[in-house]
Amino acid sequence: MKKQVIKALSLLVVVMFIVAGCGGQPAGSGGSAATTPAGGTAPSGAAPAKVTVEDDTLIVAVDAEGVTFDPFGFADLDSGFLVRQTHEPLAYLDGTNPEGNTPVLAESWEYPDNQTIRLNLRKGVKFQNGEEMKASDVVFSIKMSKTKGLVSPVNWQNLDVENAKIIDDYTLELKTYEPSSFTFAWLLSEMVSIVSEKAYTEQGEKYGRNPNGGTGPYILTDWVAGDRVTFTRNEDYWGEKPQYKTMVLRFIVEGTARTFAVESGDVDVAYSCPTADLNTLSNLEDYQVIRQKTSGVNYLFINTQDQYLKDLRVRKALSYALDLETMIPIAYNNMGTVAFSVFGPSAPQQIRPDIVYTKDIEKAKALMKEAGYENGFNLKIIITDRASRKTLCEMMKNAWAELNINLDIEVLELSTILDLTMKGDYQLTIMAEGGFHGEAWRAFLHSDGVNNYSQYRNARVDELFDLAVKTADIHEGAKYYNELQNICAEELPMLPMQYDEILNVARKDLFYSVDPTYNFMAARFYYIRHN
Amino acid sequence: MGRYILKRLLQLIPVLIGVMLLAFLLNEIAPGDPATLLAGGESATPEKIAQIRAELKLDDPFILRFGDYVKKLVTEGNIGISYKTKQPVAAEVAHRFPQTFKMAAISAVLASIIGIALGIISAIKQYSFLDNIIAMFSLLGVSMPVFWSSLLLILFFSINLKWLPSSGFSTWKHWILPCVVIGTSMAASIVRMTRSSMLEVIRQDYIRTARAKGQVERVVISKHALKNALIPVVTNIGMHFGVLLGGAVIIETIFVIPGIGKYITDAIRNRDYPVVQGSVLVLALANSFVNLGVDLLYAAIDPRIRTQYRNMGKAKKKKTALPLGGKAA
Repeated sequence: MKKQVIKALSLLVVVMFIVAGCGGQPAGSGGSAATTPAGGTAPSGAAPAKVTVEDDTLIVAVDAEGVTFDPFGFADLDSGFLVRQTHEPLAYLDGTNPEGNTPVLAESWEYPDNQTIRLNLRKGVKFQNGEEMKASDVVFSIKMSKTKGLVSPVNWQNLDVENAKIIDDYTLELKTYEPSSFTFAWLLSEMVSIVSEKAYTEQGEKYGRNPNGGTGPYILTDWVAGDRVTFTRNEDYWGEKPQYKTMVLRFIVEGTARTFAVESGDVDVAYSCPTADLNTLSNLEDYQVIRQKTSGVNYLFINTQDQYLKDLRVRKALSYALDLETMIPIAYNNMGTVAFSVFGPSAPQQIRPDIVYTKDIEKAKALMKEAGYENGFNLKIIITDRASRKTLCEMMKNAWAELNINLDIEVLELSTILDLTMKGDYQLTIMAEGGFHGEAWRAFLHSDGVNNYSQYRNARVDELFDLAVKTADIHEGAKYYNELQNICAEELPMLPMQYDEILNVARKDLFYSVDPTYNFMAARFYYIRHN
Repeated sequence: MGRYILKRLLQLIPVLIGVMLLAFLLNEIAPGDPATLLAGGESATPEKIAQIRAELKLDDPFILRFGDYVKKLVTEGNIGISYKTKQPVAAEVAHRFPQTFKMAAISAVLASIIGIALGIISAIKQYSFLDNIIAMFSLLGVSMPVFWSSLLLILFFSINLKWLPSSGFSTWKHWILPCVVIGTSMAASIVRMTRSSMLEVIRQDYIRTARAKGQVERVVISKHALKNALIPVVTNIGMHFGVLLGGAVIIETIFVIPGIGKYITDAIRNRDYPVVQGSVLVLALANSFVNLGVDLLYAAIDPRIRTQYRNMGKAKKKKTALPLGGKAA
């Protein structure tokens, strides 16, 4: 009797483990049970129910919680997500096409000369506080962006907003202090959100939690810290209204928990799922997997002032020893592509430089020998706790072992890494950066760049940045950026490794448009429609 | 008794000052700069960083900042404003603490019911088949990491059976999985503690006497044995409960519950010093109250301890009265 009970109990435990383990199996294999609408229940083994979004509510899982809806008070991408749902810019910049801006609150624009832009605003656009958008609101917003905006770059200060000319309620002219290919590009990007002057001034510090001065298609109705934000449709929206009356953004920070939320049917869309779950998610019957390119580039930053790494031959040897074509797909689970230029794919000025490093171990060894380091040395790389980076570093360690280099991998928190890289107190690190214009890389490559982690100094590079940004004609400016990319490929202050891609999942009955701009701040979930 | 409680409450003051100082010091020596993270991390400019440092008074000397913090705490009851969200830490803690408390309380009740019941059965049926099964259960519960059992239960109940949601906290259904995970892990430890404590007690002479007098076994166990065996068990539950208040971060992360544990770990990662300091202070306070509650429970369970607490006050009175009385005599 006792033996029978023990057997029965053991069997029960085993069955539970097996059934639970079947969660990762393809839906078609019979291992996975039916997917049901959010909150619904279905017994195991029931026929798969067709999934539809219920109750006119769209539930989206995102990977982080922003801190504010104030378009000028954030420096983090996660707040950018929130701001995109309630606020709009003058235009969206299509990074794949230098002249491909999509008009939003500005209906059109023209350039009377190379230092002036005339904006023709859309008429009849209402802010969420009921006020109509006027040219004065646009001037106010640009001023705020210049003075308060945490994400504003150095060359944004080139815009002379103090002397903005308001021609009428819907027309205004702005000038730059100097000709620039960058300033107007930034103005016509979604980095500059337009707010109601009245609403923003009245709310003051509270605006970040009560954002009633945007023109966006969704209105914030509830914010449960650490859990979710809820939006309702803006019935006075000037454009095509969102299909869903309510949209909920759930903050599910842990990647596996996001995958589980999809698998259990708790969410309609999940943003930025773990790439390790690609196969599991691809096999779900009721969901589609969407790969979204971003402007992010994963770089190997090299401290060019380090005792070993200041030698260009060593930097080149390190690069020639790496087989990125093999390493990148493994480290990033076949997401993204191998990088070739320091500029990201979102920069229209990106070219394929004359030098692209492919594995050539003999050449690498010869360079090490020439530099007098035939017997190698010790190097240390500091990285954040990301699986892809750790895998990449392990592969780099193996590859560089052939050069007798011993790579020590240290995992640190981002704040500590930033602390060390800002001081130049490191040898190697991997970080992701991005931008939609060549000027964005000034921060990393110019001698005075605010994020010149590589401690890189090259007078010609500095000159090229200045020449390019002061050239109003973007095509003419391109030649400077071409030379710049070639110099960086030759001198390797940072080795571009991977152009990033994120993994999104949406129910199959939804149409999820992939943002063509590559801009990773551009997640506008209200574009999601029924198929 | 009241005097005892008052004394314990007064003892809280130096404890809280010590906790505050420690939290401040640890933040001070931790690497990383909150201003850099607030200014955009990798894209932060030195000007913005300097501006934020000045706004947050991060360049002020340590003593000045600590003094300012204590002053605001005492005069305004302000435990700080989050660097990141610009929201009062008290409000954020007030939103998050109830979720953690609810989870800890439900889990503790569940664990106590299961743990004590199984512990008693295990003790009175020592070396039996049932005892072995319970031992196996408690071994499994103690050794299985909570993240593992969480994932297993989600896969089984949320993904395969679709009975329960995998994350969130808005309905009672959401609380089942996290509480079961914590409850079973905690119950396993309570079972072992109850069993050993009960075994010790039921070998005592007064239990033998009760049985010899013909007392019903149920009464012997529940009235004579259990009451005396409960003291270490209550201590164990209290300790677990205290740990859960601040340390359920894995469960909170997996089940997406905005609790205090996750709040603190996020704040540490973001170098959000006021949140770390404020939350640690609240947790220290909560733990002190839990300890006090446990001490009071001792008194409720054991009349000897009750008398001891009562006599503590009287003894002091006597101590101070005696010399005066001597003089008068």
